[in-house]
Amino acid sequence: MESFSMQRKHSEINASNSKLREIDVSAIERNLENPRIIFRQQEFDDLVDSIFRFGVQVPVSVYQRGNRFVLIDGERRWRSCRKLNKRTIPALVQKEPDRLNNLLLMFNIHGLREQWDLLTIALKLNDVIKLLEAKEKKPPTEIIISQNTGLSRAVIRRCKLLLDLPKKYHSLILKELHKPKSKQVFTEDFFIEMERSLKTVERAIPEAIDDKESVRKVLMGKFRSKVIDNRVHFRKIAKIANAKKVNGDVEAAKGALHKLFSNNRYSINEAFEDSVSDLYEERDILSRITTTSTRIRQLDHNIIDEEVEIALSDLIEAAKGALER
Amino acid sequence: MKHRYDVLPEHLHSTADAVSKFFKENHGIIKIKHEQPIDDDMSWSPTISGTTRDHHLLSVEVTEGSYLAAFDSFIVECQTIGLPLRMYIAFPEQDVSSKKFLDTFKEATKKGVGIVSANGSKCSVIKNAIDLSLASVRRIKPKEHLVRFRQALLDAEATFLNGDPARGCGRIYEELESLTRKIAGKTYAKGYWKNSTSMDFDTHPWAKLLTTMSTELVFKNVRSLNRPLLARVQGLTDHRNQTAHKIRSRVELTKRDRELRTRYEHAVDIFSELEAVAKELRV
Repeated sequence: MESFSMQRKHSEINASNSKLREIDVSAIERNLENPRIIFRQQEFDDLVDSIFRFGVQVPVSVYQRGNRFVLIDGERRWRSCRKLNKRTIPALVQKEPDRLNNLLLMFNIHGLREQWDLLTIALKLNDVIKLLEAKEKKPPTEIIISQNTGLSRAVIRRCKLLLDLPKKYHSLILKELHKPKSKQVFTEDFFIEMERSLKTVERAIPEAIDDKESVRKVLMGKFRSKVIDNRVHFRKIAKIANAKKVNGDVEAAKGALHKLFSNNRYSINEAFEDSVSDLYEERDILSRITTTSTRIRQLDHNIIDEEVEIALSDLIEAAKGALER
Repeated sequence: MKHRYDVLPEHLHSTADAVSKFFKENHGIIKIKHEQPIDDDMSWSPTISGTTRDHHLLSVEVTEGSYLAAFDSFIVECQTIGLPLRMYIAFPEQDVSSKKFLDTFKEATKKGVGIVSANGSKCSVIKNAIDLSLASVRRIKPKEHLVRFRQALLDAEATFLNGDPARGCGRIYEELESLTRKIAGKTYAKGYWKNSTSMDFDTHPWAKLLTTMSTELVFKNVRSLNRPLLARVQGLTDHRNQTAHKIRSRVELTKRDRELRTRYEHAVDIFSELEAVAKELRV
């Protein structure tokens, strides 16, 4: 299958496919397939002010359907023109694409230019996956999705994590997305970090989670009350779940996770300290010692200067001290 | 009732519906439109627009954002064509001590734009809007007037701007009448009149008093008063006695506001000149 990115290259070469025209703002319609459904007021206001002062500097992209035009790219510019009661807007007019190409056009135009809110991508990505599956008669791989949408595989995986969430959380994230970024609490990144850690627990110690939904509620409550004050701390949950990998006590890890998922005042840091913190620290020290020892053995003795000698002496003293303790 | 909005961000739709209902039910707004320009030639499409029962236009911008430069352009357009429009900015309930809100509030107040707060379906007017056709009236600069007249002039201006321009004009005329009566009395007392008179300077009809003064006063005795100035005061007496008639259309309202604005500014100018006379005569 020729990927959409390849097709896009062809269409870029064949620029005559698009015509630049000045078209009536009132003849344009929104594209219902536009994955971008969040328009934050401040960003919109800034654009209105910019167009008010300088006009539309970049044409919108549309396709023609009868006497009307449907937007492919430039919904905020079009909305701003409507607000400013402008009669016409510069537009690149293209031929009407089929549904899959309509979606892929927008993914490629926007995805390469600026990052949309991830959930809005995820919700439409689901449609793209279904359409690609219908076309190829088999589920598309991450590579195929990536080639067609222009999204990296990491972004696709993050999208899938969000898509797997119950729908009520999609509504919650969308509500948060309308807020200015500084005011958002339960962000896409929060859910991605939480879901990743829970997936690890499900894989490593499945019996630690009785009811995933109630676990989510407890963790969200802790985040709201700042018992968990940084979403990155969720990564420590995965470390606890992987206790076996550092020769840890799986039962102790299971106990810490149980307490973490039920006690509203028990933080991730406390669970980490109570279970596997020492083991990870030990592993970290071992790894550093091994690396340092290897490096020292490789040293050319002719190039050891005074500064290195002092540092090595300090290291010997520190090691002796640690062994004597 | 839910309306379809193409431009307004989705999370503000319910606020816009609540504000629309509020103006319809509490202010009797009719012919309500959403996201449509008031006039094809204007450079703004308000979120909500409509017409009041007394033929004014209403424009409401639902926003949680900043005061936009485009608002100013819209206001200037309204003022240029003398459109009798009241503009409001409607906010979903928010932190009224935030810098963004205070900046917008300050700017809106300066321009005569009203503020509405919407808390769910409950709306309240925080600040009333001024008719933009009136708001462009030349403002009183207190320092350019004698201290004893400042408050009266500012009260007249407030009455004019707060939606009763006829009464605002009336208050300036009252001040003018009072001052010219005092000037007439003082000049007569100083012996600047050609003949004696038995008229009561406080109660004699104003127009007749000015006519008599115009023929009897020896103008060379008062440096800052001349016959053309007195004739201009006489020209105002017709308006002084006019009663406001009921406005039947927006065209009539636009015309009336335009005339009242001109009369008001003209009356203030004449008053300023008479202040010089008052100062000279120590009235």
